[in-house]
Amino acid sequence: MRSLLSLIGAIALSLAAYFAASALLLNKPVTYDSITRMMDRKIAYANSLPSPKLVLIGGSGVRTSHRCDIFSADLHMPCINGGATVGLGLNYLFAEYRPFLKAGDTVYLPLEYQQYLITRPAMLTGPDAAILFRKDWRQLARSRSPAGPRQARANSATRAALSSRSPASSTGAGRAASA
Amino acid sequence: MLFNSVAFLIYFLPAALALFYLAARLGGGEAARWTLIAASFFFYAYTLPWHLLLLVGSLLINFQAGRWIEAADGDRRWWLAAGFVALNLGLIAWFKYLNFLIGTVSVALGFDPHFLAIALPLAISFFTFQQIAYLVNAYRGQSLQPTISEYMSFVAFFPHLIAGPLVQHSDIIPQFRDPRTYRFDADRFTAGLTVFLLGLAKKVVLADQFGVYADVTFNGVARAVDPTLWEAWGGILAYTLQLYFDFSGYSDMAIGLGLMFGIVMPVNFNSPYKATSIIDFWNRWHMTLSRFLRDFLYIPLGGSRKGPLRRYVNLIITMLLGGLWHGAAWTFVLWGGLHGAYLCVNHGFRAVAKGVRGRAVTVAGWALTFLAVALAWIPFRAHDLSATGRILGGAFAAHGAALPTELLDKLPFLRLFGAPLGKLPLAADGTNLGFLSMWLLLAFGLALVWFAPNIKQMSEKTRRWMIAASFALVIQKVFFSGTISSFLYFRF
Repeated sequence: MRSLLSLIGAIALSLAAYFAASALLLNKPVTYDSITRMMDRKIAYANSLPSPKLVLIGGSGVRTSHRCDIFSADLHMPCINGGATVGLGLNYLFAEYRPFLKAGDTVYLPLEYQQYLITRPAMLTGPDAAILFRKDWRQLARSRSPAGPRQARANSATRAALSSRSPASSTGAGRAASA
Repeated sequence: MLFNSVAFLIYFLPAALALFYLAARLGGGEAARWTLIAASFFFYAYTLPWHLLLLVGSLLINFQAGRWIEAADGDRRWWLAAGFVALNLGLIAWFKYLNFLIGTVSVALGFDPHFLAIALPLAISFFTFQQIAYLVNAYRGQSLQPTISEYMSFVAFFPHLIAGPLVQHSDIIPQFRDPRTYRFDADRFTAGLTVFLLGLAKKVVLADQFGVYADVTFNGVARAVDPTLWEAWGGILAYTLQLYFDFSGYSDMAIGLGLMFGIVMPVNFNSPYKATSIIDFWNRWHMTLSRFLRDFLYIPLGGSRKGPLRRYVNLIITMLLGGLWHGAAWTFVLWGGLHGAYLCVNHGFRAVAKGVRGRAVTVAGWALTFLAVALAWIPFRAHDLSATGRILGGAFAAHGAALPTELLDKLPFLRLFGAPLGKLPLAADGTNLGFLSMWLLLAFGLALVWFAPNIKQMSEKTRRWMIAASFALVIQKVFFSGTISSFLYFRF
C-alpha cells in the first residue's frame, strides 16, 4: 500500500509541476509567448484604426500571403492583418477581434482548413488555452464546447459576415453587419 | 482497442480488473480465467468483431489438436503435428501472404495483378505462432496439458494478444494455476501500474513525436521527393527512435498490465541500441521473437551443428523468414536479409578475430551496430524498394547536403555541413524552428537510448521520478491531443 501511495504522490507531483510550469514559467511552450506578443500588437493596432476598416482573420496563410498595404491602397480603407497561426482556434480569434469591429467594417475570413476542424479537447488545451491561461483565464473558464455560448456567438458573427451583401462574400469576405 | 485510447484507459481496464478480482473472490481461479477470456475477446472484437470468430476458431482447433497430438504416438503423432502446423501456416498464408504472392507472380509473368479483398486479421502473426509453438511442444511431449480455460487465457490474454511479448505456454500456464495470481496484491499491482504508465509515456510522449518527423521524410520520399543529407538522416533517426519507443513502450505496457492481473511476462527489450554487435542486438531487441526464431526455426534447421557454412545459410534463412513474418512485402524480406548478412559477418568476424578486445573495439562495435541497424530500418519503414533506394542515397549525400538559410545566417560555421536552402521540405514540415526542434529532440532521444537505464534496470525511486516527469504529458497527449495513434507492431 505504501508503494501505491508513493505512486499517487508522483502523479500528483507531475500534475502540479505541469500546471505550475505552464502558469508561471514556460507559457507552454515558449514559442506561444511570441504568438501572444504578435496578437497583442495586432489587436492594439486594430483598436487604433478608424472604421470602416478591413479586418483579415485566419492563420499563418493570411499573415504571410496577404498584404494590407495593397488592400488599403486599392480599397481606400485601413486594413489590419489579423492572421496569426493555424493552431489558434476560431473561438479565440473571434473573441479577440470582436470588440474592435464596428458597423461598416469588413471582415475577410480566408480561414485555414484545419481551423474548422479543431476539436474541443484540442481547443481547451492547445495554443488558445495556453495563451488564455496566462492572459485571460476568465475567458478560458467561460469557454464551452463548439456548440456553447461563446462558439455560438462566434458562429453567429461568422454567418453574419459570410451572408453580408458584399460581392466578395462568396470568397469568404463580408461586412460585419451586426458588429 | 488501443492501450493508449480513452476507451481502454477509462472504461475497459478498470472494468476488466474489477471483474477479474471479483470473479476470483466469488468463484475462484476458473471463474477469474473465464472472466479474463471474455474481457480479452471483447478487447479483440472491439475494432473488427467478425475477426473474433477466427480467433475463437483457431483457439478451439489448436487446443483440441494439442490433445490429439499428445494422445497419439509414432508416425501418427508426427503427421498430426505436421498437419496442424501446416493448417496454421496455411491460415496465416491465406490472410497475410496470398496477395503478396499474387502480386509477385503477376509482376514476374507480366500480368496485371488482381488482388483479393482479404482483410488482415489483427494479431494473426502473434496468436498463430504462439499456438504453433504449443503444438510443437505437445509433439515433443512438453505440454503442460492445460484445461481449455488455461489454454485460452494463455493465448488470448489481452495484454499480449495483439503484439506480444510472444510467450510459450510454459511461461504463463503455471502462473494461471497458482492461487496467488488471483489474490489482489497492492505492491504487485502498483509495480504493474508503474511499468504500464512508463510504457504509455514512451509511446505517446516520445514515439508519437518521433513518428511525426519520420512520416514527413518517408511520406515525402514516397511522393518521389529526393531527400538531402540531413533530411534523410532526420527521417532515419526519427524512425529508429519511433520504432524503439513505440514497440518497447507497447511491451512495457503489456508487461505492466500482466502484473496488474498477477501474471509475469518475459522482458522483450533490453536497451537494444546499446548493443555492441549485431548478435548482441538480437539478444536485446524483440527478445521473445528472437527466442521463438531460434527454438522453432534456426535450431530445427540445424543451427550451428552442421558446420560454419550451413550455419550461415541457416542464419540467412531464419532472418529472411523473420523479415517476412513482419509483413508481406519485399522491403521486409530485404530487412531480414540485411540482418541475416549482418549476423553472418558478425559470426565470421568473431571466428577470425577471437583475441580482439578492448574499450575502443567495444565503442567501435557499438557505433557500427547502431549505424547498421538504423540503415536497415529504411526498408522496414519505406513504402517500397524505390523509396528505400532514394532515402539510402540521401543518407550518403547523393542528393546533396543542405541546411536552412536562416540557421546558417546565425551559425555560419554550419556551412561546412550543408549549402543554404530556404526550407527543407522533408524535415519537420519545412519550418526552420521545427528543424531545430527536431534535431534537439533526436539528440534527447538518442541520449536516452544510449545512456539511460531501461525500465527494468531502474530503481523504484527512479521509476517514481520518471512518472513525475512524464505523467502530466501523458495526460495531455491521451486526453487532449485529439488523436490516438496505433502501435507500429499492430500491423504485423
